[in-house]
Amino acid sequence: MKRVAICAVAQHEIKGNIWCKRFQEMLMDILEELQGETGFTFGGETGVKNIITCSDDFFDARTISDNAVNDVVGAGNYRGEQKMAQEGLNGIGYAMAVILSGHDDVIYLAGHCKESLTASRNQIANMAYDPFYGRCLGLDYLNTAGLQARAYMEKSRITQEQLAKVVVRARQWASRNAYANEKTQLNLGDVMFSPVLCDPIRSLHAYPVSDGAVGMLLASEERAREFTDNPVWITGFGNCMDDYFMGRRDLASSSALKKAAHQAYQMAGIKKPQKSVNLVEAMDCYAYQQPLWLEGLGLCEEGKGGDFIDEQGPARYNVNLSGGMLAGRPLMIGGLYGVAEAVLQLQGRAHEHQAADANCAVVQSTTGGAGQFQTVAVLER
Amino acid sequence: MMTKDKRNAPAEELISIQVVNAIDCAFPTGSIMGKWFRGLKEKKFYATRCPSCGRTMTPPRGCCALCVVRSEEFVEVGPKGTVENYDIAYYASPDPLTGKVRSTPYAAVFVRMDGSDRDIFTHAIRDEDIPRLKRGVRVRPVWNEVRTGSIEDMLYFEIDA
Amino acid sequence: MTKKKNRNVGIIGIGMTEISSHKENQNQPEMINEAVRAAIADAGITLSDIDCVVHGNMELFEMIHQPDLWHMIGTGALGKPGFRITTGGTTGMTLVAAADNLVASGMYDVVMAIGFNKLQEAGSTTGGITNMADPLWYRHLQTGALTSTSANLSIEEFGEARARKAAMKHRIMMDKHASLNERAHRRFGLEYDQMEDLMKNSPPLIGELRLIHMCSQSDGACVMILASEKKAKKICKKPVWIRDHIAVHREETASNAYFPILSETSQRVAARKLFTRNGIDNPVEYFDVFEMYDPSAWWGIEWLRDFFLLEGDEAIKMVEEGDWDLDGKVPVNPSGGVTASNPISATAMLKPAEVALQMRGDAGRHQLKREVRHGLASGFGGVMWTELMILEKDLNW
Repeated sequence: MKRVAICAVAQHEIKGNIWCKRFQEMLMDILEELQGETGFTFGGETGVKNIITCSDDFFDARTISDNAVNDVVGAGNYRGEQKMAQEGLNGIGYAMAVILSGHDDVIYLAGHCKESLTASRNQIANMAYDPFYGRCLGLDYLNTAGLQARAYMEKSRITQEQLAKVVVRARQWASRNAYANEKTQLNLGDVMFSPVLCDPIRSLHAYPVSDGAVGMLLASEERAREFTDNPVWITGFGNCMDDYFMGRRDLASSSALKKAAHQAYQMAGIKKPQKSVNLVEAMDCYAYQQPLWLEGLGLCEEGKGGDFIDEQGPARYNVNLSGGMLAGRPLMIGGLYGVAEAVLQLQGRAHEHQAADANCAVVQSTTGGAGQFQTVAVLER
Repeated sequence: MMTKDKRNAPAEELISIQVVNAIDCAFPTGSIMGKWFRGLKEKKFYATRCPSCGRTMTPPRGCCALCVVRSEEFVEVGPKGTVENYDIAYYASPDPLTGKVRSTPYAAVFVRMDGSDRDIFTHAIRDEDIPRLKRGVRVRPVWNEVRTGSIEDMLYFEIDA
Repeated sequence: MTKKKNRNVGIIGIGMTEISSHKENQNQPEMINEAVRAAIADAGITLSDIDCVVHGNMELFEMIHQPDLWHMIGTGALGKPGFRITTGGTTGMTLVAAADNLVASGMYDVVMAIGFNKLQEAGSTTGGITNMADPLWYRHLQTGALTSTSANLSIEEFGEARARKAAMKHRIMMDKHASLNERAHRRFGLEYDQMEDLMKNSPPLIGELRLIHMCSQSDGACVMILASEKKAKKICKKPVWIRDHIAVHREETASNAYFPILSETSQRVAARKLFTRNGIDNPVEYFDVFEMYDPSAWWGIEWLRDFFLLEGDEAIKMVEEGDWDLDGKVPVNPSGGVTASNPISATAMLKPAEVALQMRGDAGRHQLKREVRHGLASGFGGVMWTELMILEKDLNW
């Protein structure tokens, strides 16, 4: 299979409420940064003709939310645009398909999400449940995570102290990442005794409300060097849907993530991820999810998430050196930020949070409650 | 699969649940639309001008969609303009923000503001002027006495004759 | 010039629900499931043969966030890869284009695309569409997709009597086609001698746009299964090939996009680019059928000119002379078109689906008499966006 390159990435600084800018203005900054770096243009024989965006109608309170950004992503002047209406990492897989299909050879991909626009992101998540039963029960992504946390913590014997370690470490790394949202440093006690949000999830176990935008330029193997001397290759991609009904799922494990990871590793030709992977960006919306997703990715032994934390597993695999979701990323583009971070790491441009010698990164993201939909991409230098 | 006959038969267990879904939102204006609303408060129309193609955009946009370049230079357009097209509504749909339905007929006019060559601004026209609407007619804005920096600071256009 | 696809892609299965405004007997996943089952049965495969599911609609109509998560009950996506890709009104065709890209890429062999809307659950479709406008200023001015701007310009160009007649003739022709299509939603049984009456007495919506001109509010789902050339030939006796597709978007501000006098329509730009890169010089000659997303009869007559790159009154003259009829030069919307049936996010998929059925000879009572070898299908959405797709019966272009 031919390879697809990510030539350049641009991230908007993440904040809890970027009230001074509309998301269109945030995307304008992203576009200019990317064009400055790569020199790409729109239209003509060699310019960008097709754009993939990522946003959500509920979060933007707008039908056809991509219409609001068509101007600023370059689609408004008779060009093609398609919206990835899931978490943005899926846009990476789809952009890869568009380029491999031969339909186009350069794609501009841009995503935005401002969680601060609405009074409550949990209210939006409640809308993801059926109106007859799930919604009436009050299900949302927080309380389904609570159910999952309890099931998983029991199975993998995870303690409050181990979860606190995950959060403290995330904040330490976030402090070195210029784009990260929440950089306040914590000690274990701060986390362990923070107010209970949804038992057993405590307030500091949950990712903070976040606004942000990400953009990137993707190109075919033939054209990548026009835009960069330092391409990062998407070598694997997979995603998978789990059951809607939580009663039919094993919440303490993630079969969807295992399948998604299997597809991605297989495409990338990775037989033993524990040997090959040396950087991970996992979408840990809640602290317990970091070890759970690492189990699903095959990097942590099943049911051993607690020991993994104690034995420096996250450090061994360079997990979330950006600070990850726990330091704050918007829900719809959490994985897209993960890609941006992984690309900078593989390019050796992560500055103060640069990993030593990373050449194979795995990015994971999830859409839906308790990780119902899972996505995995493998990026290599 | 159901047969056609069964499908058309009313069944007691078919229930439709009526709900109103509302989520509170706050929409920041950003600096570009912020300037526009401040202008309306002062009875002025601020457009942005594209540094590449030179067209104006009303209300102002921070990016020219045609050239895909930042456009943050403000120029004043109007206040009068020429009607290029119009929609007279006899069927009123609910305003998705408020659920309110307007009384009919009402009309929207698509206006080329003076000083604005390749751009159209849309607003309402005074109900009494609807019978005289046609392409090419000149219009001027009618302002709300109390202006707060919103699109409602301008009530509507009226025919300038 | 067009680039060769990585590999060819064929349509191997088509399923659609009946289109109606009364689907109280089904909830959303059940409605989708009906079309999924029909498509799988049509392809003669089982769910386990599907490698990837692509799902799309507009969230704020049914007010379900990320609806593929709930709908997996009916889509059969459990344990499978999938994508959710949306582009407003063009979503249905975007899903087919996306499935084409996904199969052509080599990443998936068999992809199922699902487009649907259950607009009765939306309350007001026009209100839902109005929701797309900028909340800071345009939302209290827009009236959904209802507009008379196009009619006003046609009347100015061709005169009141001629323009009104052409729009109404197009509308009645669509109804005659719909009457032959048992899946069409609105089938009024209109006759051409009702033209004068309808022009006067159909309730006015916006300016020259009357109720009879406008598409309906419908519920329905459409599913298409696409496969790689190798698989398609193995599985399917009559695969229909997707030759090429293009998406053309416009700027956000509807005021400008409603103005063909300011700039070209997306319909014309899409047609010109797509035909040029595929070496099609004379589209009227080339195509055996055109399924057009015509949300209103006024837009219908305007866009026929654009899609076939015609000038002046050429397209209207063809309306007058019946050239777009079932036995005309280019049959337009044998399905009855969008004024008859409009479950929005399925609508733009119903277009290539109908073309494919015509090519296979499986259209039913509205099957064209001529052999259908080259087909064109269009989608409409967003702010005057166009998606355009060429389908072929034979793999020989």
